[in-house]
Amino acid sequence: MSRGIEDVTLDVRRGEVLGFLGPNGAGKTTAIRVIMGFLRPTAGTAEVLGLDVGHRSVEVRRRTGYLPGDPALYAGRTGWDLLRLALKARGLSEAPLTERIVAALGAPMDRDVKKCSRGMRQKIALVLALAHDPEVLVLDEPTGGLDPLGQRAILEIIDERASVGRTVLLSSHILSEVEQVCDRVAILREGRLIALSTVASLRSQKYREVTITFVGDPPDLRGIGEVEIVWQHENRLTFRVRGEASQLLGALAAAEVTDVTIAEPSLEEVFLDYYRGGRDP
Amino acid sequence: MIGLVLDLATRSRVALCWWLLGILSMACYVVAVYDSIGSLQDLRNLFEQYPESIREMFGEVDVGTMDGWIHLELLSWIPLVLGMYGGIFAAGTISRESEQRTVDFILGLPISRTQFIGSRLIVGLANIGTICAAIFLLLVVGVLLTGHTPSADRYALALLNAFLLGAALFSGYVLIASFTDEQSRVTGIAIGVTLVLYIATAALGAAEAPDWLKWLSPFEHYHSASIMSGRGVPILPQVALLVGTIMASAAALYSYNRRDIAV
Repeated sequence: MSRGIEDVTLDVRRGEVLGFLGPNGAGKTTAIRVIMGFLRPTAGTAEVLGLDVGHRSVEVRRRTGYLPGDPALYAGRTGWDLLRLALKARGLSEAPLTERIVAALGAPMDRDVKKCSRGMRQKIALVLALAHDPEVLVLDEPTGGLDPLGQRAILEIIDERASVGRTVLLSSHILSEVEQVCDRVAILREGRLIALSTVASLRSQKYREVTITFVGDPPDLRGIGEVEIVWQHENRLTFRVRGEASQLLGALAAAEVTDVTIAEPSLEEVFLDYYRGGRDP
Repeated sequence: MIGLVLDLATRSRVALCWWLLGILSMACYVVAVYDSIGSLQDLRNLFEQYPESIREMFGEVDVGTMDGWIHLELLSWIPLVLGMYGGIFAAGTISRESEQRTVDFILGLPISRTQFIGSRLIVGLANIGTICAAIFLLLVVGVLLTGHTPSADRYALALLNAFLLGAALFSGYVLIASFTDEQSRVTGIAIGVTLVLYIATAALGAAEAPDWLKWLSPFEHYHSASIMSGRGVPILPQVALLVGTIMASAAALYSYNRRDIAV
């Protein structure tokens, strides 16, 4: 039976936000379920805070805040009921961040879960995952079902938790949110890890689009590294360049330039490049 | 673990109350009508004319006595109800958690799978025990109110036997639920198996099947007829039910600890 992921090796550093990126079915949730001890790997190991998740799963979950994708909660119970149950299971009498997170998200903690919309359930589940201030956060699609205000609030909370040393593994297929909060990104395709790098580094591996206005005719850039001329009109030249730029700068040094525009690719373009081009690590 | 048990007990209490309402209503009816029809000679004659397989199902009792009447009309089928309750409870608290994905919430907390299944076993057994205890109390009080002398020791023994049988069936259904994620499937299996075992036990008895074959059915180890007729209760079957409960519970814990919990 296919287990969903294969040969995935990665680490998340303390205080880091790592984005787990990939379309539906890429294996993000499977990887998270291995980390949380729901699935047993046929080979390999997973450790959280130095604890083997196969043998020390309860301890791992004691020190972790977990948000499942599209969380399901007990109908007939309120958010407060569920928080009390969660705190009892953790051996805690109170959760230090409850008030702040409930207020920031506007979580309807008094409402019966049965009467909550998808977004309201998501907010309650986020409170349950975050309120006890865990050392590690494992969040599967944290902005799923949230309105724009809720999305912004949770991304700010994630950013703030990382800034005080909490470690965050965030799974998402929404590139803008990954770009906004993640230090590094792991891209999964068909259960395999195809890229693991900082957002900036991933971008640099892709072309940048450069537009230069010269005084007089543009220099001849053909044959220089990975430069692809896109468009030329009189003394204005647009081209794409990938990788090391020193050779290009050398060629441009002799030319007199009046204006330069360099457009960095978005993470979305990087992501699509990996998927369309089928580029392997 | 205590929190988990209390939470589940709280969540299951409304359903338990409905089960108790139904069972105790039937028990009230049985006790209340005894004076009007229980002592009729025609009823004895009718029972004796039943085919052996049917009488085997109810057991050899004198239906003209209060104890025989209570056995025939109530205690003979109580394990059937306990078995069904156990199956529905196991399906609703284990398979349903997987099917509705609430298991992600509960096992995302620092709760081991052993604690998860253990809490289901404890609350399920406690609820089955509560049903048996409530029937006992109702029988004692009800029989007293109708002007008869209750055979409290016989009720207690018969209901203890019923509890052990219900526990064995329940732990078997917990085992099935531990590897089945569909609530409706586990419910169907539990009700079907309970009915088949109940009927098959009577049929095997009537057909004079070999003892080893009859021993395979948990219902064979239920001796309410013997207890209510004052013939006592054999100990070995009770031990067999207890051992069956322990083995099925251990197998359920092992199975649930070994499996993947997928979405």
